[in-house]
Amino acid sequence: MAAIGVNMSKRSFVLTLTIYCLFQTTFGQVGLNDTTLAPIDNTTEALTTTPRPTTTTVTTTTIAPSGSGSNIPDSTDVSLCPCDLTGNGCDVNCCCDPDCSDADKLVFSECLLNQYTFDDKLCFDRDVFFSENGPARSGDSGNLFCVYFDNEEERNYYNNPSLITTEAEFSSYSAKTRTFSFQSPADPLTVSSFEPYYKSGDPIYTVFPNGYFSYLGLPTSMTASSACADSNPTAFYIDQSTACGRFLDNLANDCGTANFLRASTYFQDLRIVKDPFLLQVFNSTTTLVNPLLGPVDLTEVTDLYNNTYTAALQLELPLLCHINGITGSCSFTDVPTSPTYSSTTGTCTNALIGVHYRFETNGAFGIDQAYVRFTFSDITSSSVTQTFSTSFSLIVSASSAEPVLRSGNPGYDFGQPILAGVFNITNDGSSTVEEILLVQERGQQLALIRPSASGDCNTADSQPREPVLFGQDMRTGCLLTVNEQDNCLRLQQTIMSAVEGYAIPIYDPNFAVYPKNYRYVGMFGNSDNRKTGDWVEIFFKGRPGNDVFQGSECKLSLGANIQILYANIGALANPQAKIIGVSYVYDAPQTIRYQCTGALCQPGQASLSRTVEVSTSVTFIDLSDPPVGVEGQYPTVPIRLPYDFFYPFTDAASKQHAPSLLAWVDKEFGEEQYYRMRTRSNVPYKFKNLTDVGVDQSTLAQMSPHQSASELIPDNANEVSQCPSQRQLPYNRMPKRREHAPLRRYLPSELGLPEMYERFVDTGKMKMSYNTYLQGI
Amino acid sequence: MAMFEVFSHPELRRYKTSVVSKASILMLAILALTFIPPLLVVYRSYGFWLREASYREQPKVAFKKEFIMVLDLQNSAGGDSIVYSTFQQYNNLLQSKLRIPIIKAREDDLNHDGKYDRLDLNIEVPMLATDQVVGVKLLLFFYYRLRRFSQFHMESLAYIEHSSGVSGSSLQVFSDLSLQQKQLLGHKGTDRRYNGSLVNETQVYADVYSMSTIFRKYSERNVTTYLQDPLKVWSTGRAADAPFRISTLINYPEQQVFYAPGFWYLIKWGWIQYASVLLIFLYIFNKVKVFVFQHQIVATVVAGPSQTHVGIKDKFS
Repeated sequence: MAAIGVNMSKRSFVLTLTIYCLFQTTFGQVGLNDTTLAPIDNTTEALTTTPRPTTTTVTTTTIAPSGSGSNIPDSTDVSLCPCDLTGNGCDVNCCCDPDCSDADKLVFSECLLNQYTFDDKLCFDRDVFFSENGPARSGDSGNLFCVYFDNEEERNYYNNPSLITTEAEFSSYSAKTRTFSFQSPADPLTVSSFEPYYKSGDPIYTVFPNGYFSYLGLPTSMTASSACADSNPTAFYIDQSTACGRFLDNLANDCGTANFLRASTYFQDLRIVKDPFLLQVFNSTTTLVNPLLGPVDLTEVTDLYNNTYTAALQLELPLLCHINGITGSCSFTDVPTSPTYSSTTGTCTNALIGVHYRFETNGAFGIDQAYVRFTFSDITSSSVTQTFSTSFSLIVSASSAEPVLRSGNPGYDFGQPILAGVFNITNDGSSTVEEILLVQERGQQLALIRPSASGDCNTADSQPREPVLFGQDMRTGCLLTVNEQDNCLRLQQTIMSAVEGYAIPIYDPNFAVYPKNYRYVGMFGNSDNRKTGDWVEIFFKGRPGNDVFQGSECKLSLGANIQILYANIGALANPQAKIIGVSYVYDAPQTIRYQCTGALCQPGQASLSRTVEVSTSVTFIDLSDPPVGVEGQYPTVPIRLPYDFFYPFTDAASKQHAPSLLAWVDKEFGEEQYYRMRTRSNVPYKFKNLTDVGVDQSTLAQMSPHQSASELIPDNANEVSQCPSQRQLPYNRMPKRREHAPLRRYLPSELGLPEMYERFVDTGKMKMSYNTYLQGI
Repeated sequence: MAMFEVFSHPELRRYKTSVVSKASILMLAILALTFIPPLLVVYRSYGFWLREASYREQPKVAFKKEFIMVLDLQNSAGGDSIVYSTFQQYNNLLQSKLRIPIIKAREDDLNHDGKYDRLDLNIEVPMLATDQVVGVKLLLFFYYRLRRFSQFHMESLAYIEHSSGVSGSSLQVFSDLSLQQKQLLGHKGTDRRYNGSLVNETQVYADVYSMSTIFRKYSERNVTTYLQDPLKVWSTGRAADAPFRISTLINYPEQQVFYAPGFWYLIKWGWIQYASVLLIFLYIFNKVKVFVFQHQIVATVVAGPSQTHVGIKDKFS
């Protein structure tokens, strides 16, 4: 190490050190002992390992070790041979181990590192060393700045912290360096304080005859598996519906014994806590002052289970049975104690598959009545899906009307079923009543066929169909078997009823039309069925007539696409979707030819049939006028600047992560949010834009260069504003155009003052010189 | 006699004119042409305002000691699972599937710079002889912090999923925790938009702890982390008495962070571009001005140090 300082240049070492220190304080990221994680937000706050203060009073004399400890001097390397890990024994490859003899050292393949460079910024040049084969290794300065003489040696050593002797000191240390630990916070169930009344989203409590309380369970499946997790609590005032799987090891053995297949598990021997304050005061001497009920006297409540502040779950009749895909009333009226297994059929009869809890609530007074309804079914496999649901309703007095579910108010919400019904006029002699009859329940009014597992088309009335939900494009289908002997007309009618789902009117061959069946769709999610103006008729485009025969083959339309046009209305910030038209567009008829390949295609075989897919699909088309970003009033520079010319001076530069608005719409220019191309009569259009808005290329070729582009714009301005390339642009890439106010009149640009003067003179109202005319203007 | 230049100095020549004259209008026009066109040239060639920039920083990452683990088992009935998480309510909800593992976590600061460089996490799940593990889902929660420009704090995730056709005895994962930005970070200020907890531990409902709920919330974020190209080793053939082992080594490397530069940074780079083009314009129009006034293309009164030498070119021409 004699080479240190050999190549030291003539610059002052003091200066070198100063620069180095400056370098470290300016650019150095962290000090050596900066291992804390502060500041940590309270939401992700680390759990400190602070032990709880104990209050034991020790009266005995305390015993503490009094021997002296190791003396650790400051700024020294305390470990001289870290690899010597065996006392009184030689450690292999540890050359500094004093227990190793020279003979031992001969067999070492290498020497483990036992020399450390305490400061690797010392000044020397690597070129001085040709090779290093000694036990020590020099570091490498290699930098422009290096330390020639370090007079602050202690910064290369850790501080030796003082020992912790009291618990308070311990807490202060651990609070200083907060870190994350595996220590769990308390269970939310045990720390919950009982509110005086339930709020929406609070779990519902139940009590058991033995005095324990818990949550009312609503089994659900979690990500881990589809099996039911029974401990999921029921949330107050939130209607929920869950489905999860139950798996049995052996159907024959478990059918009668599995408690989750029994109805009694879900309602017997438990009572619902009407108000959670019961759990707060029970077993305590303090009387509760409820903010609503006033002081509550719970002195007569001696049993947590059996009192007036709890409610039993009442059984709602009739019991439902799910047989062959249809749910109806059961033949029995008593809840079966347990399912029974029949070994002859291999069926577990009357197993529970559905539980529905219904609560009547009274606002802050909690749950008034609790009901439960069960659905049973016979199961043959060792797993079954159970459904659980809850619903809440306020106590209804006898006079009030039945609550009606809306699909939006007023515009449709995404994912809500479409309202549809049949227009009907009744005349009771004095007045006519127009209304839309909602013949089917909500969700079935406009629906698609749902395929069975085998794929067959089941057009039975009782078969539930897949509801058309607003804004959701979808497609379903089913298989139709076509035989040689089938009647094409009957086939087509089957397809049509599968597509439309209700009776098709009888075709009128004389006029080649179908009579109207007066199907209407609600414009709004809350359309009143007596306000018939809010309903729009369904069209049936290309509904096949009687001409389905083509020689010996059938020419069938195999499905339809339901096109639903809607537009957003109202404020930009709160768009409300309104349906403006609905049409079933039938597929173009195609010839269904008998096709069969292979040896089994002999006449007379049962396989001489062909399956064709009948498909229905839904397309939602948004016809809303797109909002256009209108650049604000500043800057009022006469030249037209690009929109981001003043980028660093706008909010966008400083608030990069603020959510950007779709468009700013100045109130004064509120009508200018839409492209109004026809008003821009004198702005020459680029050809490229014209093709975007639907002008034919051939028209462009014939167009003279002086022709005003506005003549080419089609009249239907709506379609112009629907220009798809413009709609898909995000806001910040939309072309910024200064829009003309639509109602303001502009002079043609070719009209100059001399021309205006000539026209004025031509009217003959007054004679004046051109100068006077100019002054008058 | 041979002569040589012994010294030279420029002479100042003044051209004077009235306020309203051809010469003043010409000067105004030249001024406008000198200073405005460079701006247009620079702007039209794009990149005038530096709208995004990047820097590299090693984040300060800490394993929050929170995780959700799901082991998929294969049995005669089809499938089952074993779960464990550090969330008590999650374990309460799935009591029948719960199995307590031994967890060992170590975070190393290899270069002693105060920032952890990697996480070494080992999970040892005791197994029954009949259990056959065919899949692992492991969701780890991290605390992630950037400090160079905006003080950015967030809770971030790392997700490991592996499934195999044959049952295994251990899974080893080696990977880097990478930052993914859908949006630029700010250049200053404290950003704790995503410092909220993805799992609300005070809630009791199963929905809160479901991985799909967590991922839905997580994917809505504009800044996330993910495990980049995890290298996985799936060992098969577990002895009947052996536990299932998961060992993960996750590095916290230096990341490239994109941010929106601040006002003065924008001005600095804009000015440099403008000034460089402006120099060319200044040079050209200076030549033009000298030519125009020297040749008296517009009428001016010339005042100079030497009236007798009007019209003689000096070294500026």
